[in-house]
Amino acid sequence: MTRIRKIKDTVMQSFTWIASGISAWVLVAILVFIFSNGWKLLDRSVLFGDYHAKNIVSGFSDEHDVNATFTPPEPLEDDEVISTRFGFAVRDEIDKEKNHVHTLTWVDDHSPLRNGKITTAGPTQGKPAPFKAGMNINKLIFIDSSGEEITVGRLKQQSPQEWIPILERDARQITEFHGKEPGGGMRGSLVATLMLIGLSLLFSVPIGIFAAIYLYAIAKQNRLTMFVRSSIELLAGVPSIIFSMMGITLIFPIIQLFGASGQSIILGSLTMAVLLLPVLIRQTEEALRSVPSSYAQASLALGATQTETLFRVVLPSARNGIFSACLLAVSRIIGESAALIFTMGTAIQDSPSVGSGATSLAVQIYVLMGGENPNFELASAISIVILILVLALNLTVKVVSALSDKKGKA
Amino acid sequence: MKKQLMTILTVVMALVMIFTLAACEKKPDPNGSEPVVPDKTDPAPSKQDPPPVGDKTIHVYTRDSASGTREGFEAVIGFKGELTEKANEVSSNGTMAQQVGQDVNGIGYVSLVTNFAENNLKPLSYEGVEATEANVINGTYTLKRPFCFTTRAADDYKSEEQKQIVAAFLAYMTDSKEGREVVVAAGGITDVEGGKPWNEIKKNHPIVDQDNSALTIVCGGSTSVEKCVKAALESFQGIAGNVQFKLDQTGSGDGWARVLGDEKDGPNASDIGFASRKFKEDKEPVGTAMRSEAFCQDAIVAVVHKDNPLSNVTKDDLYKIFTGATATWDEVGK
Repeated sequence: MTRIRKIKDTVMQSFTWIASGISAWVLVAILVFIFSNGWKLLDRSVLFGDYHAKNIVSGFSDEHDVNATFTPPEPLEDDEVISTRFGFAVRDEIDKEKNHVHTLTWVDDHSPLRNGKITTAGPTQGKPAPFKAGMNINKLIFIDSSGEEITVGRLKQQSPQEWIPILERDARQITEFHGKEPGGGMRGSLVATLMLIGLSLLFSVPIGIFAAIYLYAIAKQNRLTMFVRSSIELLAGVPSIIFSMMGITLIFPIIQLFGASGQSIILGSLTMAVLLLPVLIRQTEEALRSVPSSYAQASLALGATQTETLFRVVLPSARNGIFSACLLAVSRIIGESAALIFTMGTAIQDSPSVGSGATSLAVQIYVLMGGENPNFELASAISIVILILVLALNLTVKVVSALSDKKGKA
Repeated sequence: MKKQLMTILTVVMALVMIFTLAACEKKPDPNGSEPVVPDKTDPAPSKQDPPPVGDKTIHVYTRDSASGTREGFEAVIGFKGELTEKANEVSSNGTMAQQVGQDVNGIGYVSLVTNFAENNLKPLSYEGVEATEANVINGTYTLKRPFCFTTRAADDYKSEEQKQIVAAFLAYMTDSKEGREVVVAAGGITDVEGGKPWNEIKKNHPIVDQDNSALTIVCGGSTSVEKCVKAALESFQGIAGNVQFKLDQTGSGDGWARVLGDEKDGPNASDIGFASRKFKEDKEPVGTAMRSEAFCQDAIVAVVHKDNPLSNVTKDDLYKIFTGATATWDEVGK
C-alpha cells in the first residue's frame, strides 16, 4: 500500500515539476524572442521619436561657391560616400521600417546645404531648414552648366555610389532638397496610452468606488443586490472585443452629441472605463472588507453617522487596497488591444489629441504586425516597453500591499 | 478521493493549456525545432531533406486568406474556393520566398519586389512573358493586381478646402512624375516618365500653397497599399503646407464602405478608400465618387526552386497545379 502511495506521490509531483518547467520555459522563450528582436532597436529615437517620417523640402536661392571643397573632420567609413564639393556624406541604410534610405552621416558647418530655406507653406516657410547627421535624403534637384534641371537620389532608384558622382560632376547650383527625419518611433502611442490611462481612470474610479461602497455597506442583502453582484461578475467575463463593439454602437452616439466626430481617445477611454468597472468594484469591495470592523464600530460608538463612518474611517483605511486596484486597472489598460481597435482606430498618430483617433502601444503592435510585411523588430521593441511598464506596476502593487500589511500588524 | 480527482483534472487542464501555449509560441520563432509549416497529408519528403530521385510530386504553397497577394492571384487564375487541400499555407511574402526556396518541388507566388536570387528562387514567366516592371506597365504581363482608390462624392466633404486638398493629393500621387517616383520607390509599379511635372499640375491646385496643417486627409481600406500611400502622403506633406493625414487601413472590403457605402457617415468615415483589387461593379458602385481609378500595380510572380527546369507557366498550368489536378512536375504543361 505504501509503495503504491509512494509511486502515486512521485507521479503527481513529477506532473507539477513538468508543468512548472514547461511554463517557465515558454515564458523564457517569449522573453528571449522579444528581447533578441527588439533590444538592438530600442533607443531614444524609438522611444521618443515620431512614427511618421517628417519630410523637409527646402529651396536654395544663394549662389554656391563653385570652387569650394570640404574635407570631412575624421576619416569616414568605407560605405559612406562623400561629396567634397557640397560638404556632406551619405550612407545607404535600412531604416526601422525596413526601407532603404540614404542617411546623412556628416554635413560640414559651411556646406551650401545649410543655406536651404523651407519651402513648405505655413509658419515655418522661409526659415532655415535643419540639416543634421541622421537625416535621410530622398532626392536633390540641381541645375547643370547648361541650365538644365536634373534630379538625383534614392527616389530616382540610384544608390549613393551612383548619384553623388553625378552631383559632383554636373551640379552648378542645387535648387531643391527633399529630405526627411526618419520615423519609426513610438512616442505618439506612448502619449496616447498615457491619455487613455488618465481618462479611463477619471471615469471609472469614482463609479467603481461608489458602487463598491454601495454593495459593501448600503445595499440590502436581497435578490436585487444578488442580481447586481452577479451582473458585475458576468461583466468581468465578457471578452473585450464585445466591449469594443458596444463602445462603437452605444457610446459613440452619446459622445457624438458633444461634438466628437469619430474614433477617438475619449471613446476608447469610455469603453475602457466600462471594461475596468468589474475589476475596480471587486477589488475595492475586497479592500473595504479587509478593514477591521472594530474601526467602524468605534466610529459609530463615538456618534458618527453611517455615512461619516464610511467616508471618513473605512474608506481612508482601505486606500492602499484601492490604490492597488487602480494600478491593476492601469496594467489592464496598457495590455488591452481588442477593446480599442474599433473605438480608437488603427491609425498611428504622432501628436494624439483627446477628440481624435490614435493607437495605444498594444494597438501599434497590432498595426505593425498586420499587412504584407510585418515589422517584428519594432513590434518587439514596443513589447519590451510594455513588459517593463507592467512589471513596474506589478512591483508597485506588491510594495503597496506589503506596506499596508505592515501597517495592519502594527 | 474527490479532491484527488480534482487535482488530477487541474493538472491535466494545465498541461493541455501549456502545450497549446507552447505550440502558439513556437510559430514566430524562426529557430524553433519543428518546421513552421508541416506537410499535412503528403507522405513525401520533408523540406529539409533532398527528395529521392524520381519523386516529382508538386508541393503547393499559398498565402493566408487575409493576404491581398492571394486574393489577386486567385482572381487572375480563377480558382477561388478550389485550392487543393494539400497546399501549405504561409503567413507572409518573406516566408513564402524562404519556403519555396528550400523545397525543390515547391511552387508558390510572391510579389515582384522579392529578392529572387537571395532566396534560391526562379521567377516563372507567365504566358511566355517575363515578369518585369516594363512588361507590367506595357500590359503584356497579366498576372498582376491594381491598387485602386475611390473618394467621397464631390459634394460630400467636410469643407471646400478638404475637397481641394484631397483632389490635390490624388493628382500628386496619380498624375505627377514626382508622386509616381515615390510610389515606385515604395514598391508600386507605375510609369514614372509618363507622369506630368508637379509644377504644372500644381497650378490647378492652388490650395497646396497655403498652410494646411489644420486639414487631415483620412484614408481607409486595403492594407497592401499602405506602404505606397504612406510614402506618398509623407512626401506630399512637404509640398502641400504640412497637411496632416490619418491612415486607418483595415482591408480592401472597407475601402468603398467608408467613403461611399454605409460607413461613410459613421465613426470610420474616410476621404479616400483604397482596395488592392478593382472595386466590384455590382456591390461597390463608384459612379458618384469625385475620382476613382488605379494609381499603380503590383505584379504577382509564380516562383519555383532555382533547380526546377520549368521556366514558363500558363494560366491553365497554374489552375491545374493549385487545384490539385496536376500532381507531379512531369504532368505540367500536358
